[in-house]
Amino acid sequence: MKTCTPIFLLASQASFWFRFSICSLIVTLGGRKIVRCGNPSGREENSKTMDAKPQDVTGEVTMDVVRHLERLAYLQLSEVDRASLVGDLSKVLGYARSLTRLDLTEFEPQTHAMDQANVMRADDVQASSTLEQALANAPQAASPYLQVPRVLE
Amino acid sequence: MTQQENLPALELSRRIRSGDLSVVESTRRSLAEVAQRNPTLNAFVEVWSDAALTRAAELDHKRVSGESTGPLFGVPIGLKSNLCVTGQLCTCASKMLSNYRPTYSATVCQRLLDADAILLGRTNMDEYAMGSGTEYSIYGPTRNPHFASGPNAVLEGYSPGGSSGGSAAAVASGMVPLALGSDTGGSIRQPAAFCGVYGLKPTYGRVSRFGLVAYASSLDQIGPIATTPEDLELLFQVIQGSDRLDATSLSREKVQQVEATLGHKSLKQLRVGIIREHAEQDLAPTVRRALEETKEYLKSVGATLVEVSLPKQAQAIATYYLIASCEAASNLSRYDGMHFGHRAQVPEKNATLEQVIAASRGEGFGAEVKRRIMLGTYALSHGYAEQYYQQATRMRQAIRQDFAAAFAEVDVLLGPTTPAPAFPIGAHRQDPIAMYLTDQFTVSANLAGLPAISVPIELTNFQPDESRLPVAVQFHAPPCGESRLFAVANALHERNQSAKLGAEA
Repeated sequence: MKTCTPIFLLASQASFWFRFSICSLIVTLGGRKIVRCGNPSGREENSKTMDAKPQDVTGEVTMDVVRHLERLAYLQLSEVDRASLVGDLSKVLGYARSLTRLDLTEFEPQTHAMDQANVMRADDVQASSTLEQALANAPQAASPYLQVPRVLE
Repeated sequence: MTQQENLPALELSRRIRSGDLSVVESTRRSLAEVAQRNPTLNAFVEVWSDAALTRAAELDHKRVSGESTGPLFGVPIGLKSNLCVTGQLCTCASKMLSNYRPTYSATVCQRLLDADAILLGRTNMDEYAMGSGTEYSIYGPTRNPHFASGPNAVLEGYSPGGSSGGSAAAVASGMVPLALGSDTGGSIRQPAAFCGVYGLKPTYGRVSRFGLVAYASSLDQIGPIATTPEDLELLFQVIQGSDRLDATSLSREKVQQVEATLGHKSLKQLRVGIIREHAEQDLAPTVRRALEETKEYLKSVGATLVEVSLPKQAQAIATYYLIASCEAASNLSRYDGMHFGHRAQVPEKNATLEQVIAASRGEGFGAEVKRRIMLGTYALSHGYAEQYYQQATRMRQAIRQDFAAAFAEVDVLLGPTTPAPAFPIGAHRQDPIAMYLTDQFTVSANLAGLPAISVPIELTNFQPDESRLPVAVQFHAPPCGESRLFAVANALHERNQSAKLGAEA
């Protein structure tokens, strides 16, 4: 029997799952169970935080840019990582510059390899993961809950 | 080592079916081969001896009791460490997933079991399939089974390529006749070329990706690695086919419809496209000779060679690394250390969820994964998405149109798999772009969703100062044109066999 666990799904759904996963956490906090619905950071300032950085289009990557990307990507780096990323990202983006300068407006953006759209299938009920399976790989759990750090101030 | 141990899968399965060899016996031989060779090569990172032997005994029982046997009956197979098998570790060679045991199996793994194969264990890879050398792994690097001889030989050994380097090295060294890899930008074909075996990246959608840990979902495909084209096709036939668990998998009707329009071509009718832009590329002398010898051979069997142009080739690497990194940054956002995966122990008493997530990701991911997440985050961020990501998706369209125009004139395209044979372990560690450029001929197939095969070529002569590392050529076909690739590979395999005999004589 195949179980259908929503762990490795399609890219288009990845960020959805990230949000969904956080939304659906049931959090144990000081003995009280709180159902948290919403974004992990309560990103009201979403549009602002998604800005890569105020800088000119030469795409020079500075230490400030790296620190900012670190926050966007929820990725804590060491000082050594940061220093090497300043150089590496500049190099890779510099390499990509020949591409960014071309006029490609005649080509429609293509995000997928194949021209498949609206793939439908019968909406029949199938077995899914059990509670035990869903918690099996959790770093910390107290069935039927996942335990996570506090999310409220 | 007896001769039987390195039998191709088809022959091995035939002998087992005929009763010459029991499955338990064959599995033991494979395990012994791993025990002997793996300490040097580090191709397998985990061997499932007990499970494999238990299953082997079950299969022997099945045969004796006269039940029908599957197409891979008793054949031991290596799986790349990014394929899920219920209850077995699936680590992606990352600290992030070092304790992760999936509660379900990938569709391809289930199909292998249904075909009566033996899942022997999991193989080494670059972390999350991001790399071209099987060096960025928590298990340390894998070594290429081919050690160069001659004055330029390198002591510490050569890279098997990557990211499916463990699978390619396991097959090339005779530990297993077959293995599965995954190919996002060349990760099956490049290691197959470096290790002297056959590797196929199928048409996007022909093989289900359910249970493959996602790296760049619009580019990822699972595919076979084998020592003969027949074995390659056998394994491909077992794993391919539509799957309700992967909405991007192609339906059988669609595949049959496209195959019917492609029709059947004999080698004599085959028009082989030679990519003009490749002639200007900087290729190692042995790779250039492999291409020349392949052309000569194809001409000799009656195929027509036609020069075609893929003018956007030069932009393929930049396009690929932007798209792949953007998709990776998105896909890998699921690793938050909450549901599964590594969670950091943050000392601050009142650490927030965000702090723990960021620390877990910082500890769990290695350098190359971080580099791609950061690049993808940059290229997708406000103010840059148009300049980078969208521009790359437009170029992807242009590259696809180039291929479509070429396939209006020819049936398959011939070119190199890699610009040079295997590089010494560690050669590109300090320079990401040099490493990315080893994929310059392979990424286009992923961008355009095309099937492509890497075929090893036995050179008829070597210069005295040349290291005898394997070289390969690559063929592209239109979508669902895998059978054309197998046909060409079969012909070249025969040529290789006689070249080998000629060299020995």
